[in-house]
Amino acid sequence: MEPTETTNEEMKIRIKLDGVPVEVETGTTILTAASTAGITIPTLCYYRGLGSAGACRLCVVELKTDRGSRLVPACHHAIDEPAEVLTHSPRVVASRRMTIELLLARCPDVPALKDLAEEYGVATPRFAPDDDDCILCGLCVRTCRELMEIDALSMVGRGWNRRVAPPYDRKSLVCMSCGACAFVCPTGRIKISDIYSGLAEENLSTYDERLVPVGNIRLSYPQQIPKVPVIDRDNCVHFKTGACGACERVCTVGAIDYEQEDREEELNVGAVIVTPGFAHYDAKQKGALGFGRYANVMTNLQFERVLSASGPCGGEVRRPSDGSHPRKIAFLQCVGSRDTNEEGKPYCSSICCMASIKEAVIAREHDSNVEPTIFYIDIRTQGKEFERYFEDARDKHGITFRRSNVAKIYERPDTKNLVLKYVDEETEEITEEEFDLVVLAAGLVPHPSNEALSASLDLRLNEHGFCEGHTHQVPTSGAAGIFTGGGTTEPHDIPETVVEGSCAAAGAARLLADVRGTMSRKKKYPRQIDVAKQLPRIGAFICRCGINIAGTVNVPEVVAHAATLPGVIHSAEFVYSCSQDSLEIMKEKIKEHDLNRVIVASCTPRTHEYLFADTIREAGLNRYYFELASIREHCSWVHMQQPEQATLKAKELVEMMVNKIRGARPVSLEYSPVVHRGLVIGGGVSGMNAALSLAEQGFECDLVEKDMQLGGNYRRHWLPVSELYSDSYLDELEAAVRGNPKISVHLDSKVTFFSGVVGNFHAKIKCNATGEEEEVNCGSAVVATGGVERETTEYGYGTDERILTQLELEKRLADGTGSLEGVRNVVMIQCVGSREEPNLYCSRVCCTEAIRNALELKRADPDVNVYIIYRDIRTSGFREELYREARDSGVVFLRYTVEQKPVVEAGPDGVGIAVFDRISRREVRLTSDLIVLSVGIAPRPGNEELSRVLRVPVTRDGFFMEAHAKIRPVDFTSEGLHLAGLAHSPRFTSECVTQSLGASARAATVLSRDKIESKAEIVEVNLARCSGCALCVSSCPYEARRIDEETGKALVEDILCQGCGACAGICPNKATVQHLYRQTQIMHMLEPVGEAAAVVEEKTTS
Amino acid sequence: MIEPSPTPLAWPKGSARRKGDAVKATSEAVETTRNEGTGEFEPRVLAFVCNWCTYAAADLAGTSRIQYPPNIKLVRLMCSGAVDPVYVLRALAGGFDGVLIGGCRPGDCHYQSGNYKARRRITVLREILRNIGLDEDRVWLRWISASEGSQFAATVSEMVEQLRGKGPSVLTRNWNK
Repeated sequence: MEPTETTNEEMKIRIKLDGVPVEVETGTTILTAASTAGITIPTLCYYRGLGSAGACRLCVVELKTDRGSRLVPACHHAIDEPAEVLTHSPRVVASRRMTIELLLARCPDVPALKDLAEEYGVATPRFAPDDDDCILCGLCVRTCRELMEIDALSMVGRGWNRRVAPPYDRKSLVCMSCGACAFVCPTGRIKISDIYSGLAEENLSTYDERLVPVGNIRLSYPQQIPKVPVIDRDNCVHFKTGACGACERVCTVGAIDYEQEDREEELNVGAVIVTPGFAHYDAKQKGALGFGRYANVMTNLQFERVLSASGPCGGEVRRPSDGSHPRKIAFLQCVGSRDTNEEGKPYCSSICCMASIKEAVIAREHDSNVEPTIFYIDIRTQGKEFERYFEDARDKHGITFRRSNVAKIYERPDTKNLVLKYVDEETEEITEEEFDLVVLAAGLVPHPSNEALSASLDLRLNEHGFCEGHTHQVPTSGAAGIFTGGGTTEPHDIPETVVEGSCAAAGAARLLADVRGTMSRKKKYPRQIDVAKQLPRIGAFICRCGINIAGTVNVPEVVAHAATLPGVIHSAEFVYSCSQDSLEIMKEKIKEHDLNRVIVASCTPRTHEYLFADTIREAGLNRYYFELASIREHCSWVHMQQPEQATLKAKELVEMMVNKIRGARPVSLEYSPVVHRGLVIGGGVSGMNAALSLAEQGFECDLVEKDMQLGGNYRRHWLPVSELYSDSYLDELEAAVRGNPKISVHLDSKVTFFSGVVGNFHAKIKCNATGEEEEVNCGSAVVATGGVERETTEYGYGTDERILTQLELEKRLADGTGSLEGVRNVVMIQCVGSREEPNLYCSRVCCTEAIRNALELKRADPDVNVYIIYRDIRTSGFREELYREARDSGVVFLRYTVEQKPVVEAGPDGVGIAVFDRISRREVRLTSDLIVLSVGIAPRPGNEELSRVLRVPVTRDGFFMEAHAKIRPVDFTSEGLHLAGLAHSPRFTSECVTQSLGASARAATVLSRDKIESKAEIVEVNLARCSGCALCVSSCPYEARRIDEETGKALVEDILCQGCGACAGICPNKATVQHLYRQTQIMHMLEPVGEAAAVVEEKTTS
Repeated sequence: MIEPSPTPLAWPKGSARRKGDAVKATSEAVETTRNEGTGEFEPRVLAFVCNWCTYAAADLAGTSRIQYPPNIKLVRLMCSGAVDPVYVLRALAGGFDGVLIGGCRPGDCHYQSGNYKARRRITVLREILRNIGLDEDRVWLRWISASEGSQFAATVSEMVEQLRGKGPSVLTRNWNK
């Protein structure tokens, strides 16, 4: 021990750095010593992890020793004797200015030099400017030699002929194209693209759709969890040759470990959910469209990255060839989808129409000069609210829609513009049109891992390679307990995908109901210390975040400032506050100094607020005695060029948070017990499935049906709705519901009253016949009240028995009484009352329904003529095959537009119909035995009433409105309430079932809990101040505020309160106080801090 | 590591702060740096931003390293609808030259309608400011969604630029005389 200590002391030398005494180890370079002390010395040729060269001479500092004063390069000069170092003395600055002037004369266009020139006040150099962009710092050469251990490039020539070059000026054979030389180059002389151009496969970002190159250490994408970069072993030089290892050397916390290996872990599980998703069609297979050959032909996913604010263009609409702003953009639909050619996929990819329309609209929002044109076969906007979006895109956003198939694209070599060759729909002539950019709506294909998974999990794959089945009724695998969903099973839009995820969870939860919660562990915390009566004793911890914060903000100054703030007992800095040892120190310091409040100044609260709050909880404090000042995202990263101002701002942010936390109060969360019982409103297929799924997951439930029998709309289907459902499906389902002891069925009833909070609702169910009311309690509820077939008077419906609806036709097809005998001609009209005001939505199912019935007619008698008059055929996904089958079997499709609807006239010999067919561009007159109207689905008329009872919203179209169209499709915004089936929007039976199972899984997330926790940031009322004005009641969107009838004062339903603070903001007496954002706290934050504080003080004291 | 001696804390109840010498010292240092520089007036801006959109946009500006003037400081609230007009007045009276309120885009409020409430309140507040002879354009309400980091930075730059042109607020103008 002893000798070591002595040596240590001997090795330490005291020097003075800009007047400040510091102690450094012998041999430390001045640059390292200065950077440790927070002093920045400019340098162009120094790089951490590399030896120093002293080549650029920018880092010169003045060294004063006993032997006098001289200039030395800070990067190269090792401290070996006591000395005084001046990093910014007039002599140093003069020397640097000269160096910069000379470098700038050589390389006038290098940004790094221009910045330095500005910083040091160097104007235009006195010397004749050159146009070089290499400053001969030699970083690239040293990197290649020292790190990569090869000499793929070196300094050649002497004197003014000196330059960096590979041997013989040709790309060296030993070059690994690692890109390190380009990475370290301070001037941008060496370009990564030049280096990668030699690679067989460029190392491109898969997240940014191969639009930009990436490094070998990277985050896969910004939202990655955990947000830890990984090394790309396939491309990393160290893994390939054993050389380099720079990252290990420069990482200040030693996080790099090359020895880490992939690990196999064995888990015992009761259920498996398989959702690898889908892959993207390789548009290169469509050679005529030029993807991969022409720079300005990109896929829709690539274009989405271009539009993204976090994408390679920062959200600016730019094209790849020259980075210019394209004006004319063509979107080509159905690339690889709905394509029976060998290289195509026969099914419809479902999502691309909406995706392209959205991209076109967003492109116009980002750049109003953009003129998008969408080339399509059918516009398939069959999702909820999609039709309006489509109409707005066309009518309000000026997007051109062209129903044409682009046959070929070729590139103009000079401008790289693209010429599209297509047949114009109006003129029927072959047209050529020039565009600046082409976006291909490449379809969806099965995920490549499907096949391997299918082998190991015994998954059933369909002919296209997607997984079959997604509900537990249709098993996806030969082995029980395996569930799948989303893009793994069929091309789907986001809401369907999310629902199928919940549906798969319901399947798993059903299997594992008996063991729910048995393997979960609870973290134990020490008893909370009561500090409410103590004066604030604040700990302020300032994070350096490596150099992320400390590189810009002078952290020691912030620490010193924090120490002076009233109430702050302890202030300190950490290199990384979030590291385990820092958290331990934090806990120790809380105990050591009896701290009762803690602030950490570091990154955004979103990253580590929970971690820090949890840490102080482990130290026995209430976790809400914590505040976080964001001095990284909101300071050091956004004010990188202004270190002094950033330091000042960091101090002020810390001071504001100290001011805030001084007034903090502990928050204890309210808990309310959960009633483990569900309520399902509506006894159709959706409702029954939801109830049954809840029961199978172990929860009792009430099922309320307004009719005398269960079954709803499904009873009106006379033919099987799809091959998934057998003839006896409904009977079996009803028997299962009836036979389940956990389900109480209430027929001929409706919900007339509903109140309470999530986990503990109270409802009244009224029987229509007897008028008796039954009161039930439930923890959550599912609305599955269904829809209705739309009533219509269009096309003479109701005046002639030969004019009927699709469901009526289905009944006649199924009853087998020969009522269709003698029928030779059948005309079907699509979109009756749908897709136009006031019902500007698509009913989704009618195209498929019409085609199914047409095929049924053809099956019964191939000689029957069936005509389907349509606007767009919307057989999305695998339903496209039905459409193809119908065309193949001779069903005739005629297209009309809403401006020119067909005209129906009933006569004695048949019903006459005249329509202008947009495909053949001529009027077609038909005489038909039957006219079948696809009337679509309307919302149930009782929706409005029920929406008032449940206090949930409905859409403009009258369907119930979910919390979020994409990511919360079966939840209402009110927690604990869910929806499924036609109550949500028109959809197929299989989708209704999926939704109802999904909704049951969402409901079970409440029902499976023992208690519901209130949010921390809810409001409370200071009753002494409340005047009962009820402004808070009217401002609350959640019905969480009400006036107590007895006292006349305002109350808060803690569990309902979502913590928006609107009522606290509006309360005129400030009786309503929001936890964590108390008005006194906010006002203290607004106290003048920093500079202004001093001014105020001067004014008040003088 | 700096550890101030644990002096007994006994400032009078209700007084928010003791004005320490150190604060003054730093501030003086700052004054000098500013005067040494361009000597230009640097406005002080406070922003009340909602937790879900604009605060997240500021985070995104940070992670994207989009640079904007350091004149702004953020106060995070859960919702723009929770911004009490008194906060804005207090900030203006307390030495800030401008106040920015940032919320979710219309229709996107995490709490359904908080941003509309903010819009109503701030409209009225601006009216009041104008009527009492203050410059209502020192109070900005902007919708900046969580994905619009560059929009956030642009808004801050624009606001600081405009306030720089306006000069100090009448409430602070005479402080340095």
